[in-house]
Amino acid sequence: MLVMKSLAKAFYTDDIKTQALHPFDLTIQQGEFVSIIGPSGSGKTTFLNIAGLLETHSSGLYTLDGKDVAELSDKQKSAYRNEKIGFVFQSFNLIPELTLYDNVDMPLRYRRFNREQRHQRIMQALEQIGLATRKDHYPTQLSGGQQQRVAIARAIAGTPTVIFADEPTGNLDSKMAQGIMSLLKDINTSGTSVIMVTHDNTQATQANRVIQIKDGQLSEYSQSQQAIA
Amino acid sequence: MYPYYFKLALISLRKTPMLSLLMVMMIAIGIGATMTTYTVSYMMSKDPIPNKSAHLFQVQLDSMDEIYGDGKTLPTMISYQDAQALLDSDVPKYQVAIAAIQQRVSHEANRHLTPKSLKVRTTTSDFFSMFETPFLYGSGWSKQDGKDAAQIAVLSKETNSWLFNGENSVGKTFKLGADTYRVVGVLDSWDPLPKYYALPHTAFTKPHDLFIPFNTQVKNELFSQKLVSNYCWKKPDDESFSSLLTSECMWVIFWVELPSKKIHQQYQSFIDNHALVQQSLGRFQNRIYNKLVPLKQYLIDEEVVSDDSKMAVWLAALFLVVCLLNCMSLMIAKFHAKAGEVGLRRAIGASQQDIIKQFSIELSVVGTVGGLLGLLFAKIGLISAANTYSYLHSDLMQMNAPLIIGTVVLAVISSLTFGLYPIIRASQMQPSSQLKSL
Repeated sequence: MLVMKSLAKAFYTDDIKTQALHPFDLTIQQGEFVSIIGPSGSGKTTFLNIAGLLETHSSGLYTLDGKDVAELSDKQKSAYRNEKIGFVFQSFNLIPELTLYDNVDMPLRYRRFNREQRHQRIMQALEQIGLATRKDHYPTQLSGGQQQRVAIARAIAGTPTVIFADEPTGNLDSKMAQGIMSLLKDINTSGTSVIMVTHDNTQATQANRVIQIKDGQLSEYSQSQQAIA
Repeated sequence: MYPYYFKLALISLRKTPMLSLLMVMMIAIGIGATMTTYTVSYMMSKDPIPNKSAHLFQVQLDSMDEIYGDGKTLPTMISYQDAQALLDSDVPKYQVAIAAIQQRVSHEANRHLTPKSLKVRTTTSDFFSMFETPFLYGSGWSKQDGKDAAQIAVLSKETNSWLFNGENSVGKTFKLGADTYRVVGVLDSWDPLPKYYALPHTAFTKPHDLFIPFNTQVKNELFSQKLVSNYCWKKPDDESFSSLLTSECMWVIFWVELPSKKIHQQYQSFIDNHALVQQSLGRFQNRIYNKLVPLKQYLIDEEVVSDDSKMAVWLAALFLVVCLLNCMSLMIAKFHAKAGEVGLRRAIGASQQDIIKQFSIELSVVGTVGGLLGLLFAKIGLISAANTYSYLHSDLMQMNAPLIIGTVVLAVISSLTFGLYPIIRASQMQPSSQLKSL
């Protein structure tokens, strides 16, 4: 599903080059639950942004579902992000002026689904996270854990093939964090790949594969006992 | 998607009410000022009789023996003797000689009605057909009555209201100076803008209060120096009225309607022949140079729309640009604050086009509200201008439907033009860098 060969990312500020990610090879199969760990500033989020087509790589090859992403136009990348990818961010990134229903509706709008199709998917996603009865509430009326659940509902409403989660439990207490992890595992069990950036080793080991990034260098960390769904 | 974008626009504007209000006010003030001045200028320069303006020509003759002005322009009046000669032509569809007098008007029977000194248009019978004047009662006078210098008149609606309480006054009589005149027609409301057939400096005043035959003015030896432009390049023999008529003084405005090119050519030949005949009699010594000036050209030549008015429009447009630049800076601030939302929408599948469309709708809403408010400001501006310049034609200060629609469209286009840069800039940024700011 996701193949990266000699992929690297460098930032340039004036004449100074900062190598955020050194060339690496990586393949992630459909249905895998992969954790990316590493200290702050190691390049975890940069990796996730490149993998999620939010940022371009500097060199190397990146194919997603067999397609070289460097060849995709902005419109095609947007369509990929909309149809194949779901994002979950550390700070939830919900629009506070929109209800839960409308927040989950956002990606479906860009998919050009009709009203009925959208409603069906929104309600299904909200029911999956257990907040269907609060669809008309606003994000500020929810706890952090609930807000992150809504963000997950928004990510899964379009039935993507992969979910990129950037520190999804970073702003939550341990109980709420465990709830989010369970939800992500459930989603993974249903066949959706999950690629999660975290600095928490305990959560990372709940994935069936862990990749470590240190100073921009990627390496396999360990193999968990969990079977690939 | 557009109803969705519209809903998002309203939510966004409600989120930052102060910023939204400032943007709307910037646009409204700029649009209001521009449209106030533009309306006056537009109404001044619009075609007063669009169905036939291409066929109306003012006759200008070089009867002088000296160069007038720059040598290309000619006086807009002709002499009485030339006017009488031209009236003999049967080439034009209509031909009209025009002058004006001021006379005391009173009601013969109603002694309680205080007499008034009114402005009287003296003209020939074709005037009413040529300029398509609407009649409330009766009609204009016949050619024969005009030739015979009959004591008859056509009243304006206002004069008829004053003299005869607005009743059908056809056949009734009144006093014009010492003489009795019979009413043959009453005009309905008629207020051409600009009043193209008369002297340029009266283009934005109301038509005169009543109309009498040109020959009747001559027969009664009536002349009001202050109501006509009397260019006497050669002094009359004496001060008498009969000397004025045979003099080279130019005080008669002459219009013809020439419905085709062929007739135009025929009439040009006619006036040139007239000039040649006159030259052989000792007049027109300078040259044979006669012009048939189209109505629209006449309005331009005589600068009916003054340069000051055009300058005011440019200054107001400049003011609008300044307002829009200010608005643009507010938009940049607004879109900077919305970078996180833009990043999020891009992350979940919005293309650059989707972002541009979404925020274009928001700008259109701002522009529309600004335009509507600008319309209100323009209306207030026009009302205050109408109060200040009450002697001018009231229609100058009125916005018609195209102007009203144009105002709102201008506001939307302006706000989109000036808001496009911040929108495009926001849509082109990497979503990853914008996401951090949500």
